[in-house]
This record gives sequence, structure tokens and C-alpha cells, in this order.
Amino acid sequence: MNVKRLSIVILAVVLVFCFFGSQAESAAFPAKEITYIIAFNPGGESDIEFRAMQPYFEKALGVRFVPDYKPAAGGALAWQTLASAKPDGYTLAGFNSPHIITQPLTMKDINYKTEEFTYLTMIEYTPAALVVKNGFPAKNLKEFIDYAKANPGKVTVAAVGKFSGPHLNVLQFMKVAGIKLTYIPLQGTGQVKPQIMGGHVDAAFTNSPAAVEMKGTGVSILAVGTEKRMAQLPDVPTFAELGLPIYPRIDRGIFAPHKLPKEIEQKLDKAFYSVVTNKEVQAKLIEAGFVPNPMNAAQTRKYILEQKEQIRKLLDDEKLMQTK
Amino acid sequence: MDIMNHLMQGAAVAFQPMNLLFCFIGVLMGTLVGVLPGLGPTAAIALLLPVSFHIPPVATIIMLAGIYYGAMYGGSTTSILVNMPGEAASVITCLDGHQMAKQGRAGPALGISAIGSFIAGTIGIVGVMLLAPPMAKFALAFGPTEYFSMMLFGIVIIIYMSSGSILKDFMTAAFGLLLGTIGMDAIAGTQRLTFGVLELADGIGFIPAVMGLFGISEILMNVERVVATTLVTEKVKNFLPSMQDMKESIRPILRGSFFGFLIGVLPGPGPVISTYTSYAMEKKLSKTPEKFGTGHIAGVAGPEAANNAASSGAMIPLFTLGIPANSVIAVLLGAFMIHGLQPGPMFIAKYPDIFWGTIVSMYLGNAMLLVLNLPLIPLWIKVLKVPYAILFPLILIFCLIGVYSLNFSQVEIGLMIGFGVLGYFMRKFKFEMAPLILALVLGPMMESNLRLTLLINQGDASIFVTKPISAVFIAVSALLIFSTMIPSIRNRRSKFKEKLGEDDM
Repeated sequence: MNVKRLSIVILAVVLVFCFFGSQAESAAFPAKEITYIIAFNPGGESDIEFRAMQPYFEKALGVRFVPDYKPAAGGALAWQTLASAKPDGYTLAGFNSPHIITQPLTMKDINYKTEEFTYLTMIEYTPAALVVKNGFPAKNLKEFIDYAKANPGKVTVAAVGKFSGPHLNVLQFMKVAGIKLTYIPLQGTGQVKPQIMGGHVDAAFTNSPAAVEMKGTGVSILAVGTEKRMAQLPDVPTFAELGLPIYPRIDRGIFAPHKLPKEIEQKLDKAFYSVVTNKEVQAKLIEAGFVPNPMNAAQTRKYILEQKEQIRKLLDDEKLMQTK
Repeated sequence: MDIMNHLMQGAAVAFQPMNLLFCFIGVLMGTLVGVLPGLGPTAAIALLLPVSFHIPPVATIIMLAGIYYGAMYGGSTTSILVNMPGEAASVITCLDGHQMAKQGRAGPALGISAIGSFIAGTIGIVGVMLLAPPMAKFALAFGPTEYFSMMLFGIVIIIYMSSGSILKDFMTAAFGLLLGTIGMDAIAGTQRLTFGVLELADGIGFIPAVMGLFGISEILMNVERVVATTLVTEKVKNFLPSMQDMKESIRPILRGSFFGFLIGVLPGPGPVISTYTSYAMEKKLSKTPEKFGTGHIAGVAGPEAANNAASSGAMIPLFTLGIPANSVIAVLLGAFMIHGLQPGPMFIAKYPDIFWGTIVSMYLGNAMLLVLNLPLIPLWIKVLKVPYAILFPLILIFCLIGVYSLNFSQVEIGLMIGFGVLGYFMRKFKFEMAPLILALVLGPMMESNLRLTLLINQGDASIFVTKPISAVFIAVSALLIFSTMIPSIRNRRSKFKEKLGEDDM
């Protein structure tokens, strides 16, 4: 009896598809595997994040998610590829902010615009932490700022990249705290750790998992860029707590090419939101060192556009814009 | 005995049948990807990452580490047989290894590289066991200043290795440095010489360059030689190194292991510099330096030992500091993170079973590799008997697939072919490839470390000679340059005199 009922349902579905061919096309989305472009190396944070959620995405949408690594130029190559992909929902990419905002503002040869994407979801963020070397004269954030004020330009602060998220975090910190530091751009967190642990630079802005790893090596963690204190770093205050309203961090989410059909956008939005708000998924993300920060499509777009205005202003003040 | 306790604990983990199996899978995979030109250990580990979700962390780490050092073994096989290094660390092996193969001595060359690697691997592991914490401090003492001086030393070594024209070596090294400036300027954040091609923003990839220069150009050269039908025309004499070979190799192996381990601990270019250093050192210490480059077994044994010891050394910053020494280790670090393990100063104390289990498994893996590789030698030598018409198209296909599999980038395929043509002309005009490769690898790091040093020290360059480690490198480099100049002046003079003499006649 069940079999019979099932076959009637199938017949009905097939008939509906036949009659409403064009509409059925989007109603049937997704009908094949989805390519998910990862803008950074295998094993990196963007990869770890995707791998943790992949089975849940596949369950929610019923198709395979195939990762496609395109690591180059701090993510720009991957996002450029996405920008020129067909907006059919079968090519998606993970985005990192503020990278996605700073690149069109500071790099030449970038052919995508921050607002010309369909933002689908925000997943998590990695907060940054301010770390000082062993034996540095300042033991807390206030002392650090006082010391930097007394010695303008003398204190070296390292972070990953130029015009990158971490660089921007440093710029913002200097502006809000009213201090001047010498910025040391390094390549990758792997380089930041030995430089600060070896005392070759005075301070560093680094992602919080790296800061957690360095606990017990003599470096001091002065502040962290979350809203509330982190479970792994209960003794470390947030910047906001200490009177600096900044939240240095790298945000990560998923987006699709510009002008994605509304029905597909809604379907992906719903599916992704159910995954990023899933407690089991969030527990996995926390274990890997991330702070879950779920947003739906509309919230994500609004957040990115607000961030863009702030960053544009910051870069303008610092005269770092290469393109207008 | 604390160490003995730890070792027993590690052995208990490593000898579990499941872990033995994953260790074997790892070294086998490693040997295979090492042998296939282009498919490097980074790609293999990345491909296997998803698998690692479903097996316990210890087994994952054991398997991935196996791939890493297994590939070090395998990489030299192609260097020796077809003059195509699988990775930067086996570039030097081509110099004498391939010459040996051409003289029908591929067996001893492969044999000594397996034995040398085993001895070096063993020394390296003992080193990791005993010295991990103090060595981690040593690695931390290296800041931008020290790195710059060490790389300068690396470049100077090129002059030392020169078997042909020093002038030509300088030219290729300078060209390599120039190519190294392509890409994003890490300090200023602007694009240099990329002509709007985003794939070039991170610089010219090492793999396309080395596969083009060595692999593709080798194929082009051989297309010209229609007469010979196989790569090695001479009869293969024996499969294993003779007693004489062993005697000539044992000192280079021990020296290579020692220095390789020390240099390998430094994150970054450790294994590559270790091979160049070992080769230069053996050539200088040898009573018959003129034999280097013509198929001298010490020229294979030393560098091969050095790169293996260096790959063990690279485990120290990973386990004790959570710092990846190179791209392979970086992927390995990613695997740790996926399992929620955070390598760092607390790692060994927190997860003794994983640390010691991995160390013991590395030892087992090295033994497995020896057992696996020695019997394979006759098989590899058969590869040399495959006619050109079949072998070279196959190699070409492997190169193309290999390069594409790295970043899925067509630009890199184009780059590889371009380097192939460049390599062809370099061979025609008798330019060495090794200086170009080393300069291409070290150039960008040298530049950024120089500029970082100056940034940190507010433009004061005297720091290079006032910091002790850096000063030693600078002093040794200066000495090396002087000592090479003297004989060359002397030689030229004596040649000049001879000429005068001839004219008088």
C-alpha cells in the first residue's frame, strides 16, 4: 500500500514538472552537486570551517558539496572566479571579511565589487588578540597604551599581511587608542608566532587560537576582540571591557555570484541558516577555535555593507586607498 | 630513565596493528607521490585530509607524517633516474645521482640514498627525542636578522658548488632573484611584475619552475637525441652499493645528518639549504673535489642524508611551538586542528601518547621505507630501459597533471612550459639550474627578512653584524667568497702563464 501511494506521489511530481517546466527548474534546485570555492589553502581555517559543516550542508540540501581550492592573492583569485561564475546556485564560495572589503579598495587589478555578490550567511569569526613579548614593560592594555604614547613609533607590532584584516585591526586599534606603532607585516600566522615568542617584535595582533597555543611561553595576552570573554582565555579582558569599542576579528561566511535568482537565494538562505544555528555544528566550530556568529542572508548583507563604510572611512583617514 | 619510559609508552601506541597499518599506508603513499614527478607530499596530504576525519588522531598524524618522510625518500628516485627532482630538497641529488645512473650505477645511487636516508632518519629521530625542548629555543632565536644572514649564506654557497663557470652561476642566481620579485610585495602590499595576472600575486610557484627547468627541458633535450632508444645505454652493473661505495659515503652521511638536523629545525627553507650546504661541504672536504658533478657517490649520500635529517628536525618546531616549518608541515598542522589538538609548548605534556607514538612510528616508518625501497631498486632501474618514445610522453603527462593538481591553475601549466623552454636553452648554453632554483626559493624570503629587519630596527643595518648568530653567517659567507676568489685568480694566472708559454714556443 505504501509502495502504491509512493508511486502515485512520484507520478504526480513528474506530471507537475512536465507541466511547469521552467518553474520546476528552480523548484528542483539543487539538482546536482554544488561547487564550493575555498579561497585559502587546504588545512587552513576556511577549510577547517567548511569541513566541519560539509556533512550538514549535504544533508540539508540533499546534494554533494565539492570543495575547489583557489588559494592566491589573499583570496582575491577565488572571489574573482566566483564573481564571473553563473549565478545559478551551483557555484558558491566562502568569504572572509574584511578581506572582501579591503581588496577592491586597496588592490589594483581586482575586478569584483564588495556589494556585487549575493550574501547568503555568516558562520563564525576568529577574534584577534593583542599579545606582547616576554619581558615587555607593559603588563596590561592601559600600560601598553601609556608606553606607546611615551615612545611613539618605537613599539613594533606584527600581524599577517598588508591591507589585510589583521593590518586593518592594527590601524583601528592605533586610531581608537590614539597611539602610533611601527607595523611589521608578516606572512601567515606561522610566522607571527615564532617572532613574538622569540621576542623579535614587541607585540602582535594574532588570531585567538594562536594566542591560546602560546599561553605558557612567557608572552602575555593583553586583550581579545570578542564581545564577551572567551572560554579558553577566562583571564583575558576584551578591548570593549577596557574602554576601547573595537572588536578586531576575521568574519567568515558564504556567498554566491551577483543576481542569484530569488527562489534559489531563499532556499540556500534557509538551508544554511538551519546549519549555522545548529548547536551540534556550533560545538564543532568552537572546538576548532571559532566563535559562532550565525546570520541569515539579509543580516549578512547589511553587516558587510556597514563594515564597508567604516573601513572606507578608516582607509581614507590613513590615506591608504589605492582606488576610489 | 624518563626517556625509556616515554619510548615504551610510544612503542605501545605505534605497535598497535591499526597504527602500524596506517604508518605503512603513509610511507607507501609517500614513496609513490615522491616518485611521481609533480605530485608532491603537500598535495597527497591535502587529498587525504578528508579521510583523516574518520580515523583517530594518532593514526592520522602517523599516516600523514609517513607521507611526509616517505616522499623525501621517493623524491630522490626521480632525481637519480630521470633527472627530475620531486621537490626542492632533491634538486642537488640530480647533480651526481643522475650522472651515476647514466654510467649504469643507478642501483648504488638509489641504494646509498635509501641507506643514507635511513641512517639520517635514525639520527634525526634520536635528535628529536633528546633535544626537542632546547632545539625549540634555538629555533626561536632566529628572527628576521638571522634569517637574512642565513639565506645570504645559502646564496653564497652557490659559488662554492659551482662546477662550471662562476660568472654563469652568478648570472643565473641573479636571474632567479629577479624572478623571485614577481608577485605581491609583502611589505608594501603592492603588485610587482604581475601584469594583472592574479595567479602571479603570490609569486612564481616553485613546483612549476622546477618541473619545467628539469623535467620539460630534459624531455626537449632528449627529443633531439634520436639515436639512443633508452635513457641508460650502458649495462647496469649492480643493484647495491659496494663496500667501497659505503666507505666513501659513510662520513658524508654522518655529516649530512648532523647539519641537516640542525638546519631543519629552522622554520622555512631548512631542508633545501641543508642539501646545498652538505654538497658544498663534501666538495670542500673531499680529496677529489673535481669528481663532484661527474657521478660521485658522496655527492648523493651527503645531501640525501641531510634532507632526511632536516625533515625530522622540522617536527620539533611543529610539536613544541606549533610552528609549521614548510608547506607540508602546515597541512599537517591543519590536520591537528581538525582533530581539536593544539600543538604548542604544552603539547608534549598534554598528549604524550600522540607525541611519543608519532616519534616511535617515524622510526618504524624509516625501517619500513628501507625494506620497501631496497627491493624496489631493480624495478626502478627497469624504468630506465623503457624506450624514450614511451617513457617521455608519460613523464610529460605526469608533469602536466602534477602541476595542475597543485592549485588547479592553467597559468601554472603555462609557467611550467615556459620554464621548460628556458631550461632547454640554459642546458644548450651550459648554464646550471641549481643556482636559479635556490635563488628563486630564497630570494623572496631574503628580501622580506631584510626589509623586516630594517623596519624593526628603524633602518639601522649594523644589526646584521652585532647580533652574534647573524654575524657568524656573515663572516662565514665573506670567508667563502674570498676563498673562492683566490683559487680562481690563481687559476687564471696560471692559465695565462701557460698561454704565454705556448706563445713563446
